[in-house]
Amino acid sequence: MNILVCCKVVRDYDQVLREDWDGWGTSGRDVSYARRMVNPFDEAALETALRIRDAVAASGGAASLTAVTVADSDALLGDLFAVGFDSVERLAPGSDAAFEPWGIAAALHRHVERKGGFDLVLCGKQAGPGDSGLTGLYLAERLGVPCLANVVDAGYDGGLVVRRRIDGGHLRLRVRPPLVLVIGNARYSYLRLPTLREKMAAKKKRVDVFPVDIAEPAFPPIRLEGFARQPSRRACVMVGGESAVEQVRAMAARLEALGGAP
Amino acid sequence: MNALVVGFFDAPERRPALAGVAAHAAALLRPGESTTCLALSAIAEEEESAPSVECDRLVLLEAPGWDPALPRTGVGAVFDYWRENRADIVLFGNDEASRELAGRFAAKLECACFLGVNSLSRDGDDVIIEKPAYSSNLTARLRVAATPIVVAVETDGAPALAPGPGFSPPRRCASERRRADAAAPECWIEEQSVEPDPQGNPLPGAAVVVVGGKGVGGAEGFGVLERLAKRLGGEVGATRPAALDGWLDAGRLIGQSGLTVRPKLALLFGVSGAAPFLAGLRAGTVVAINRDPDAPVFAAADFGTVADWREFADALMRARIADGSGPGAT
Repeated sequence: MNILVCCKVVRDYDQVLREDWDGWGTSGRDVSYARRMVNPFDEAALETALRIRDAVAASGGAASLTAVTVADSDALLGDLFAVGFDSVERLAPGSDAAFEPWGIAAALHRHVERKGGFDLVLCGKQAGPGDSGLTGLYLAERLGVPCLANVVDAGYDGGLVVRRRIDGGHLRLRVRPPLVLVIGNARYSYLRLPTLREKMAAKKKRVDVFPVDIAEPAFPPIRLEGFARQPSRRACVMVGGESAVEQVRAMAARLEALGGAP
Repeated sequence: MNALVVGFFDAPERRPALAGVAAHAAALLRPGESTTCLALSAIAEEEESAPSVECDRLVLLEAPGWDPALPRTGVGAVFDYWRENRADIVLFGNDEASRELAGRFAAKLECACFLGVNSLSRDGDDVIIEKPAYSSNLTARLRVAATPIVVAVETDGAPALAPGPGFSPPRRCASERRRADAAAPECWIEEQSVEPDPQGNPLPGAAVVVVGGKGVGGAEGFGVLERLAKRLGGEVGATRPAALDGWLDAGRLIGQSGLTVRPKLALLFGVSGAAPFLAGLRAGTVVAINRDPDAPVFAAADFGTVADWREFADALMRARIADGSGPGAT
């Protein structure tokens, strides 16, 4: 089984200072002080793929794992060899592709075709900065294959078994590839840690880079006019007290005055 | 510009807030422009069970094979309807099934699509879209000059309208029933079964929500919060990092990637106040308890106290027991 995982390295937006968000405007701010990380939904997709590969191997089969990203930097990508990916590929767009889910899906589609197709393609549900949530859906439609979104778990017991979150529960499906899985709040959301030996072995491997053109004018351009910080509609009143008991009492009095005491 | 609002109402819990979506369309259109609501169902619906929405035309579309649990099964029916009755902007709700349907429909149309849209407006012939970016830390403003456009819009609590006798649209509109071609059988699915949540998930409808974050420290801490929530007659929820660490069931995750909750009162314990979490919290009153006086959560709260979450929770529990009040009182 050939498995492709589409992933993206982003800044940890939780580390960005409030004043930088406030002053973002149209030109943005330098937030290179925030650490790089694999987008959390993509991290879950990578780990889910590793678990499928492990289950296929346990059933006596074999699966190959490829990770692909659209980015201008190899940062963090080398680590994917250490956790077990056979190849890691970077599509280099040469322009900002942050708000171009259609162009990204088109580039991924062309790449998949060039590689001769995959049985299974996994994507994270959504990634910053665009938060579009569309790449996996677009890619599935372009590839002409089924797509399951909001997937929380996938495994293999001789066949592919997928669980996806639906309103009021989960839908469990036994499915036949090829298909695209869009990973949501997954059961295994963190990527496994490599051993020192695996890290050393990975150092010899190289990320394959393919230049791509993201600008595919499938429809008239969308103009990104700028960003705004939503001002908080709440003005926090700090409630004090010498002890937790006093704090609870003071908080209850505040809520009582609003008619909202629990 | 004409609008098409797409929703479905097979089961109440899956019914998006169609009226709220239609309200977005109504706000966007000018005199002489019209809105059609397309309500999908796998079975023929009685007219009186039609959703009550503000629109010019209501189409009850029986789409055999449509299953909201597999939104792709509706793409063909919506696409065929759109092809015969072109609309410039197609609006969906922002629930998971509608988002997926919107994305796949837009891919088929090869047109611009935006999910999680907060607001829509017009500037000349352009449509201005505001939606979250940078994990909900910012709102992006985008200008789209050409149609068709597909959007999934936030309805911010607009209730799903229950069908039943005496149900009537707010103003008279033309309505019709249609039957779509049956969706192609999903041959790639060999087997499927639904695993319902035990007793459903009461969190979205709770009046009081007690939320724990990473500051709670572990599953044992969530046990404390669950008891407190019960004592307050509420439900417990978690931030994404806490839920993904397995401290609470992932079905109780609140935020951009989980549930949106609208309680009267939310008590936040050990929650940092990251934007993706706050995107899912639409509470009447927010109380934050955090040891860090600079925690961003205080900027998003009505009342805050700098305290150890456990000491505060224990004191609140003891106060409730001393009162002898609350559903969990003994």
